[in-house]
Amino acid sequence: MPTTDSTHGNGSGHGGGPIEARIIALVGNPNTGKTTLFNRLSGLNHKTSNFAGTTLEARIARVRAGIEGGRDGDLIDLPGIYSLELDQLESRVAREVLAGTLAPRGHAIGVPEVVLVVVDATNLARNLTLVGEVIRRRLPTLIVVNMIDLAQRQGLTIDPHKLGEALGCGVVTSNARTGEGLDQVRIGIRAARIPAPVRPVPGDGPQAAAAGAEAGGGATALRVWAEEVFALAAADNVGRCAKCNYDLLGLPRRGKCPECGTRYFRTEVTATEATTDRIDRVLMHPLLGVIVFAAIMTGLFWSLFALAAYPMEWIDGIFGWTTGILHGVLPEGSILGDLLTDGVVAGIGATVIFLPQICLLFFLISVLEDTGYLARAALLMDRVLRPFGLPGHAFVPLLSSHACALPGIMATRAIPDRKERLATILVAPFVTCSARLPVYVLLTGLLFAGQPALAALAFVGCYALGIAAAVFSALIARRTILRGKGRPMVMELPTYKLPSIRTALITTYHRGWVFLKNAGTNILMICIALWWLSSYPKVEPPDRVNGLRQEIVAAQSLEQVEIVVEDAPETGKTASFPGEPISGLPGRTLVHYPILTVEQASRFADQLEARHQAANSFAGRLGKFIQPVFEPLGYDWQLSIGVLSSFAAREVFVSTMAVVVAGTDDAEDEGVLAQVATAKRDDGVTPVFTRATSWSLLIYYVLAMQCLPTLAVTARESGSWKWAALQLVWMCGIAYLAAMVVYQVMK
Amino acid sequence: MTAATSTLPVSLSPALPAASSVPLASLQRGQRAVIRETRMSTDDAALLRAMGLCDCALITVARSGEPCVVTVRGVDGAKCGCHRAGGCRIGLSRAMAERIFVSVPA
Repeated sequence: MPTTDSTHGNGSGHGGGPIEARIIALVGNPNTGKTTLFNRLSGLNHKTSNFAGTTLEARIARVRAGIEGGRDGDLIDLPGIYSLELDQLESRVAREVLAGTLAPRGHAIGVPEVVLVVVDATNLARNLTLVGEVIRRRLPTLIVVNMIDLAQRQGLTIDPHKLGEALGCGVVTSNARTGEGLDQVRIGIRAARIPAPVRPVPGDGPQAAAAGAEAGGGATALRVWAEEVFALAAADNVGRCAKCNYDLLGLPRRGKCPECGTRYFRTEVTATEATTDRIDRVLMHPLLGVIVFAAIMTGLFWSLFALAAYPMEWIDGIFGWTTGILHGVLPEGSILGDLLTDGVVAGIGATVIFLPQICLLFFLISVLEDTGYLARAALLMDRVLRPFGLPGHAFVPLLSSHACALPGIMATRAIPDRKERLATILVAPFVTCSARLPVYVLLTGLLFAGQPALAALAFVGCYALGIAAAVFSALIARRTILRGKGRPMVMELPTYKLPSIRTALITTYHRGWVFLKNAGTNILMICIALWWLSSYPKVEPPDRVNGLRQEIVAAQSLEQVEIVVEDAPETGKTASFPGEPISGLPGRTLVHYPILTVEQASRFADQLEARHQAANSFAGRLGKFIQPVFEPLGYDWQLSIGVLSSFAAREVFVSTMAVVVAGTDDAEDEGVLAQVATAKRDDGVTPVFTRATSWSLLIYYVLAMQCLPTLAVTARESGSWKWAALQLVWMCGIAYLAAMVVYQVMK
Repeated sequence: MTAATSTLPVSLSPALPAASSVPLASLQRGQRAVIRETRMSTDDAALLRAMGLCDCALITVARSGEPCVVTVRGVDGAKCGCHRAGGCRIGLSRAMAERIFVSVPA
């Protein structure tokens, strides 16, 4: 094909060079190492988008041709499928891409010039059925026999030349993990040709269309064909040394190879499979399996807290430092300065702080998946989740949602049944995510001050409550609006392997990036909006602040170190301050505070001013307006502001309360936290955080939907905003009721 | 290297009457069987076939009960290459295993 200038109607949508890129489609069964191969061929440079008109993820990467006359290719990773002819979305997408009628969004459609089929050497016969279906499409094909090392260890030798002869197309072997065979793959792509199998694929040719094939018979015929091709290409080397192929016939069952010295052990069932079987006997044991599962999950969450804490502290420090520098550099009180520090930097910081936990969770999940354990866990969980109408496949999304519901909801793509998938999407945000943790820490600290064991127990209780709310809501949904039988579970269990850290790191990097983009843009906008709402309109400081400042100036000019502050709570507002009032009986209008240093008094004045500003800002007025709604839950206007602002992002609650109560959002400062804890309501006496209120708040935060990015992803993945609206109403409704009941009972 | 022509571990005539098939769920660990029919929705059956549980597929039960785990290796009636290696492992819920009917060699 002649090369065409990109400006002349190639319409490919990338500003690529003058050489037209061709499409290389990558297909294969799940668990064949297709993703690993894709990562190897593409380096880290791949773009992720969707296949046009679907929510199915499409990965696409430019692959360099590397030789004279060769052309770059766009490698499109199609979803793993067992067959092209199934009635599921993944198969349909693969069919259409191979036919040239579908492409990733933003990419020109076109019939692929080369189809790469990745097959698993340890399961070659079954994989060859997909190869047969691809051959029927008459496109230049290259077969990549991956995991060749594993097959060797299992006692199987695959001869790529014989396989190539039988299929009439190029075949290369590879070990995508180590990168062996990659060069052959690139050469093979260039030399790909339309296959001409020695024995034609059943269902190929004119009679196939007419037959429409009784589906069962067609599948068996294809399988028989595949077995025969497999027989031509594979050889048993069980009787031979795995390393040097020395014939061990006649030697004892166990021993050392006389040629190369490696140990061998001949069994009827191959060693690798026996190992997998033995491990499965434990991991899928009714009792032991559950214990191991619980242990692994506990370890997962423990490491999330323990390990992620360090990078989270660093990030917090970096953002605090940045804010400090900005404050120093930019003029005091300038709009741009405030916008940058309190809006932009705070917004970015609020997202980035969760990156360590999210990346760590994805890393660990990827490692677990690579070992093959997650498939077993999903199967085990199927029994537990099924009474609630959820499939075992919902396990990984629900697990991921413990870090952040965003990627968790995106992971529901793995759930085959539409109604089960919708149910999982709807309930996933109930589960405790990272953003709720700062709120839990604050509230359990208030409730169980000095009793860390009880606080920890309350923490665990919150997690349990979230999970319970999720599964019971799923049950209700599946009995009412999403009624249906659900599919019985079937799942392929890969052999146990040592995980590839490299793959896990690459996956983590990409998922973390997706999180940053999705959540980051939303949260940033919200933080800027919040900043604006709480900073405007600007109001004059109240008289008592002015009065206090005058006293401070007078004291400084007299070089007094200490002053006595008299406060007149004229409009019912009283500030809290560390230290007991000397006299403060109801009915008395003057409150004397103990003798303060000039510095303390100065800070006190700052806080009074900031609180006044907060109370009179748009956010403050909104809080007061909304407050009656939260009256039954025991929240005053200050808490109402906090709850409202959390709607954007939960973790914002703590800093918002700090701003409203203490005039500063430096929530790390012990003094500030103490102030928040002892803050008083308008009557000057009752604490903002009474026992009942704190419980009510805690329950509310466990259950409420307070995350705009999550709502957006729900709408996108479910295909309609009505599901997101339902999620919002349901979760906030449950949260409201539960918090109200708790407050009324405990007050 | 010569391709080994090992005999099939199970040898059955393909025309067994359906009456002698039993549900997969009733088999014990270690038993071998040949798949005869599946009684479930077309979509589920198609997926099972594509995963390797097609008619005449040879299976060995690795775990019985809930869930049921089988290894699939080879097809009854195909000239086979190496049946001491390769194949896949598939986990099924008991509900699924009750709908798959197999015949067990004597």
